Amino acid sequence: MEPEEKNISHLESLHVIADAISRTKDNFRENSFYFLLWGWLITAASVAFFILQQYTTVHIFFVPFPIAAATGGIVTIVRYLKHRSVAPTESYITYFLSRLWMVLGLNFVAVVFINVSQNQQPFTYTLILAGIGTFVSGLVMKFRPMTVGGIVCLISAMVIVYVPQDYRVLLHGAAVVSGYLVPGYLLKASNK
Amino acid sequence: MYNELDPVLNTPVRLAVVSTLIKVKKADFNHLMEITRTTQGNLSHQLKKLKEADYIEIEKTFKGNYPNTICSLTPKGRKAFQVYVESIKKYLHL
Repeated sequence: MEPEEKNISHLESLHVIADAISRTKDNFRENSFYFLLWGWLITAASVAFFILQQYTTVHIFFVPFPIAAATGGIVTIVRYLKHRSVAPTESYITYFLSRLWMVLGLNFVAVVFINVSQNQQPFTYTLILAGIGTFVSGLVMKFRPMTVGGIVCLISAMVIVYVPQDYRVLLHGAAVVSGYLVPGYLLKASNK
Repeated sequence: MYNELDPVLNTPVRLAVVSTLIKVKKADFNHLMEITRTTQGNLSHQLKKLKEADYIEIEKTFKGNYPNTICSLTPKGRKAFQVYVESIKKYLHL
């Protein structure tokens, strides 16, 4: 015999709705993985770029960035697809953030291509894109350290213009540490 | 005076399922079982009813080697939930 359910009163309905909604929580801590991954990769690439450019005669001193981007891109896609297939829920915020960062990622590639083609360092513009992503992520997750991290990236994008060209990559690395890594670790440690 | 409550939604398990799917884009069977605190058999039956009413979509996938059922709300289900909530708010003078 098929199980039948009893009808409920208006007040009971309200309680059922409130209870179901309150017990369905977003798991934002999962997102910290991506901030830590990209934070470490870009920080390491920034430092390696500076060392190769300042202390070696290597002509392809910029190579840490494409290596970091390729590594990060592959790990991000593999992890996202794997996680999506086993996650018990996908919230609208997680869906929105994944699309936001995917679009920003494509724009990173475009910005780097345009700047490198014009023999310019892309750091101001990549920091603006990172700042937009981090700022929006912080706002929609209601996680203040990430919002502040986004603001740090945006301010660094402006300050970097006034830094001697050889040292811009170091400020870029520092901005990523404070804008990505610190909020990433705080998110990981939070109960969000 | 007040709209009749939608009989598809006016049961605890089905209402809890749709309330959950209002908040998230997708939810799997185990998560819905946890939220509704019901049995596997009853949840399957209630999901079938919601699907027959075209309130939810059901996608069958695999989680590792095990079958996994993923549910999401249809536009018709969303609309029905909105009407349902309006009806209970009116009735309760909220």
